[in-house]
Order: sequence, then structure tokens, then C-alpha cells
Amino acid sequence: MGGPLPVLGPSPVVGLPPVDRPMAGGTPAVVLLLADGRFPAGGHAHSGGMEQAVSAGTVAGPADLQAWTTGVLWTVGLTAAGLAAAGCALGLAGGPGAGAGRRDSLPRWARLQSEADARLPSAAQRTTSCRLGRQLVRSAGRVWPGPLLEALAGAWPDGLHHALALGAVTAAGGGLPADAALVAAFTTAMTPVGAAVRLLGIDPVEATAIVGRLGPAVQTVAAEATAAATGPLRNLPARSAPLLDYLAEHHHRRQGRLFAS
Amino acid sequence: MGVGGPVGSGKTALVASLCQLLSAEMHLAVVTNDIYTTEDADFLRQAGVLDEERIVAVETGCCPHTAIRDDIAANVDAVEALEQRFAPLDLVLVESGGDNLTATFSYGLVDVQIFVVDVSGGDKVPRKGGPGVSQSDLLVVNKTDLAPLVGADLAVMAADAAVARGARPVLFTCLRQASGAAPIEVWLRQQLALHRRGTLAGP
Ligand SMILES: Nc1nc2c(ncn2[C@@H]2O[C@H](COP(=O)(O)OP(=O)(O)OP(=O)(O)O)[C@@H](O)[C@H]2O)c(=O)[nH]1
Ligand SMILES: [Mg+2]
Repeated sequence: MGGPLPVLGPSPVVGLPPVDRPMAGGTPAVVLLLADGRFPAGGHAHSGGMEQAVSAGTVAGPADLQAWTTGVLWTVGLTAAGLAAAGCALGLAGGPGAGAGRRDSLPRWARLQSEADARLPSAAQRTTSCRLGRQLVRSAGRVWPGPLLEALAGAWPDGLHHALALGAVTAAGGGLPADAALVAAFTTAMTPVGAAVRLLGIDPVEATAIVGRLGPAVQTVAAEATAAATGPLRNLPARSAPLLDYLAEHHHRRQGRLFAS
Repeated sequence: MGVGGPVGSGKTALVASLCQLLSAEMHLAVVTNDIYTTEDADFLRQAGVLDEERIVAVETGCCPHTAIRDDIAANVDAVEALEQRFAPLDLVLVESGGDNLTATFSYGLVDVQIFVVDVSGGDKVPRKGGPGVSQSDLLVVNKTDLAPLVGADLAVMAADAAVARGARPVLFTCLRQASGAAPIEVWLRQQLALHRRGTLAGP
């Protein structure tokens, strides 16, 4: 314990692709689909830690929920958004849909996967994240078929981390890193709120208003994450929420639960 | 194959019986969609009807019908993992969490599905209908032994089911009896034969 941290070599730079596509269409449909909780990739069975937070008494009503959601957005939400933006940028490198189709990009995906691993200290969270990533790539691979998602599904049979999968899928669907970051930030806020409605029986409109009020924060988080993803990988956001890790480990071990995480 | 139906109607009893009847001659696996525990998976493991590792439970986040119909990703993931690990599999049984009369399986997840209701809720259930009763490939009306106790008329149930289902088959069972699942086994073997010939009807 306590030795010096190993010094990592220089990370490959994942640059933002030039915005050379017409933006006249505005928000691409891939963003709307991925942000919709009905997108069939298994997210509905996950509570983002809320089930354990409710059991532990940490979240008991709308006020707690607002504080919780704000907290996860600015911590793990920012981290996930950075990884999603970086994944999308890598997916777009070399032309839309071509990224991982080129053999030489797989080591860069592996490096990103390690960056995501390092940001999730809870083994239960890592397993959940990869399972969600695998399910997302599997479903999205049929919605936006192409070499990118096919190559990633083949190279990571146990699943890319969810945030990276989100980035890759956004790229495959014609979105940009900022889009991927926005979806990641929004999903991080929306998941526990959706679960809290089911678990606590709170007014769904009141719960949704929490995310509505967080709207500007969601955009700020996404913008910060997108900017960070233009630099070296080691500059990707690495904020964590230790309580979330702790609760995830307990949730993973408990008997009787409604949600998978 | 999907096995759906309301809470407590006999889905796990049916899955256990089918495993017992078929496991000697074909390669099987089971996915359960317990609502709150791993009760069904644990029951099947303890019953010893199948190698423990061939029984997997998935969580459904308060929405058992979503997991078998609207967003089947977790179930597909579980089935594919089993198929990879225990290849070749002849049959994977997916038991839904006990839900309501509208909960049916997506044909993106299953090739064929059984809907199990029981007589203990009274003989009105087939009349109430819903997609499970009217559209499933096989309707099983279980717990016929309880009919006299709850004043349910099996003839009424058969007549109402025929109206709701047209030509689709209906079987009355008492899965508590040792050979209770035998008629369902016959039907399932026919489906497997059709499937192997690639002529299973589907949706
Ligand atoms: N009397 C009687 N009881 C039965 C019969 N079949 C099953 N049971 C009993 O009914 C209860 C529920 O059966 P299960 O097989 O667990 O029902 P299920 O549909 O899997 O229930 P859930 O998964 O909880 O929705 C058990 O106690 C069974 O022993 C039957 O034909 N007659
Ligand atoms: Mg059961």
C-alpha cells in the first residue's frame, strides 16, 4: 500500500472529427431513440443504484431524489458522458461507420475500455456496465448495422462498458460526440428517477420535474465532457461517487431485488 | 419456448415437469424471470430437474411483461449466453414472471409460447380473454383438481376458451399429479418436430 502510482505513458489522442456533415437536420434521430427509455436494450431493469438507496433509507422522497440525482449527474454522469464522447469520436475516426472496422482502431478501443474500468472501482458496477453495453451493441447493431458495431461485438463478447457502447452506437447512428455525451448525462439522471417512481410511489410528474429542472445542468455536464474528450485520454473526467459503489456491492449480494442493479 | 401466465398458475410446475420428461433425451436450459427473488430458479435447482448451471434468473425491474415483450434484451442475453455455453441446446424454456392476462412473449424472444391459467380464480378467466388467452400457441388451464372447491365449471371454461381462441389448442391439466404434464409434452414434441422442419407457424 502507499507506493507511488505507476506513471502511465502518453495516451493516444482521440480527436474530435471535423464537423463536415451538414447540421441542418439538427438533432439526429439516434439521440432521440437512445434517450428514450423504451429503446429495447435492457435498461428498464436497472435502477442506477436507486433500489439500494431506497432500501438503505438514503432516498425516501422527492427532496432526497433531487439531491441524489444532482449528485450522480455531476459525478458519474460527467464521467460517463466523457467516455461516451470519446467512444463516439473514436467510432467516427476514419469516416462514419468505419472506425472499428479498421483493425488498427481496436487497440484504441481496448485503451478506452481500460480507462472505463479504472473509473468503476466496484466489480458489480463493472459487470453491470459491460452487460448493458453488450445488450446495447447487440440491439443497436440491428438498428444501425455496419462494420463498427459488428467489430466491437466480436472483439468484446463480454461487453464494452455502457458509456463506450453509447458512444459507438451514437457514431453508428450518425451522431456526434456531443450527442453521445448528452445522452449519457441525461440517462444518468433519468434512470434513478424512473426507478424511484416505481419503488417509492412518488408522483411521476413531480419526479420528472426534477430532471426538467436539471436540464441546464445536463447540458453543462455534456458540454464539459465533450470538451474533455478532445484531449488525451488521461484527461477524461474521472469523478466518482463512492456511495454508489458501496451500494452497488450490497445490491449485488442481496437476496430479493426487483432491479438488476 | 415461453411459459407465461398469472401469478401462481403453475408455470414453474410445468417447467419442472417438462425438464423431467425431456432432459434424458435432449439438451435443455431454463431462464426464469422472477419478480422479486430467485425463487423459481432456486425451486428448479433444488428439484434437481436440470444441472444447476443451466438455470439462469434475470431481473425485470418491476415490469415482468416489459422483459418478455417490449424490451427483451436481458432475456435474449441470457438465452444467448446459455446457447454459447451449452451448445448445442435443443430447447430453452423461458418462464415469465407472474403477470396479468395481457402479458405475452415477443416472437423476437421465443418461437412458441404457452399461457398457463388456473381454475382457482373461477371459470371466468377464459371469458375475460386478453392476448395470453386468445393468442398463445397453447392455452393450459391448470389445477383442474380445484374446480369443485371453487365452484368452477370446466365445461364453461372450455367453451369460452374455444370462442376466444378459435382453432388454437387448449389443454386442461392437473400438474400436481405425477403424469399431469403428459398432454403438454405431446404437444411440445409436435412443435419441436415442426421447428426442426422449419414449419413452425410463428406469429
Ligand atoms: N392443487 C393444485 N396445485 C397446483 C397445481 N399445479 C401447481 N400447483 C401449486 O400451485 C402453486 C404455484 O405453482 P407454481 O408452479 O409455483 O406457479 P407459478 O405460475 O410458477 O407461480 P409464479 O412464478 O409465482 O407466478 C404451487 O404451490 C404448486 O404446487 C395443480 O394442478 N393443482
Ligand atoms: Mg414460477
